[in-house]
Amino acid sequence: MADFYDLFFLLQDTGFYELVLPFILVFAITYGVLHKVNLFRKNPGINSIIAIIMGLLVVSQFQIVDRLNLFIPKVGFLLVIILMFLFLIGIFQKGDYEGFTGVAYFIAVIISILLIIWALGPSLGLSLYEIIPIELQSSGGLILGLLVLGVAVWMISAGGTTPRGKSRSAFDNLIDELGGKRNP
Amino acid sequence: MVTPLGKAIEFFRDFGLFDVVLPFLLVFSILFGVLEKTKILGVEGKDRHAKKNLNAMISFVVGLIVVATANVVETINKALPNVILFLIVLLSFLILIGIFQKDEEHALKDKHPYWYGFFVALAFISIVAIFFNAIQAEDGRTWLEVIWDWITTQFDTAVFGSLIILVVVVFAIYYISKGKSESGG
Repeated sequence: MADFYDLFFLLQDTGFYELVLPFILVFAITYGVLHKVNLFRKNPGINSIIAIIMGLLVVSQFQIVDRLNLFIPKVGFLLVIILMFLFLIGIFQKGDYEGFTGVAYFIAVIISILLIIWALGPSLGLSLYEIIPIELQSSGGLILGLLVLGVAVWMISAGGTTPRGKSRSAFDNLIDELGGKRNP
Repeated sequence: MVTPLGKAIEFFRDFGLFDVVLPFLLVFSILFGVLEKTKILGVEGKDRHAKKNLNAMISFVVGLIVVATANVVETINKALPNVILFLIVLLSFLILIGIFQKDEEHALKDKHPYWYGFFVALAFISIVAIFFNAIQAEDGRTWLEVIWDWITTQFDTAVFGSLIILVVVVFAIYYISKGKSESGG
């Protein structure tokens, strides 16, 4: 009796994952971006022609398709991890999710950039470990310790006062920004 | 690639779809779209629409000339998939940071102009690097390799130092003059 595994292997054998899915992905993204940019307003059909050509050109390059197939599952994995993190934060919050702001958003962007580099690593032959110079790698523990100490000092000492004159540390602000609140 | 769809791709490759048909269609459609949009060659009729026949003819000729030039076709075929890969990477990044944002339209330019500027600069540098990596010089190296080799060999010379000073001076003049104009000076 055929099961889902058979279906999966059948699709794999026909080249569904190596050709059809990358083509649909590239077509959809290119078409979406061209539609958003709205470069050819009077000839919207050109958007679909360019998107089809881009899709075909990408699937003709097996190396690029391999890179995509290595990269996209990792991004999906990262999305699940981040979602779980937000899910845990959400337990302690009241009301709807308001997003990150300020320093928390800045940290999120930096972490996202590092995660994207990590996800791209194997396909492009680079890793975060190789980017960091050897001199820094050997004293990584010391640097990390100083960094943590610096952040802790900054969180406690920096900050400001509320309009009512109550003092607030940077840590208080960061907690608010994790919940999407603007600093009072 | 021995899958049925892979064989189809190989068949199309042997047929010349990727070396002739697709580059021609790409150049033709982009050039036609731009000519129709900009109306460079003038307008005709009461509703003043672009000269479609003339635009189509020019696009057709330029498309054929492009596919007749092997180097250009090779560059297009090498660069465009990498541009798409870069686009997908950027999109993945936007999806990742999108999780951290409120439920609303993504507006990096309005809400985070510095990040927007950073990514515009990154996109520009990346596109230039991708195309330079696809263009080959006469000695077989790519333009990117030529430029990189020049930078690494000339890094400690007077030429490179002068260039850096020039960039710093221009940036400083721009920054100071911009500050004056903003403050009403």
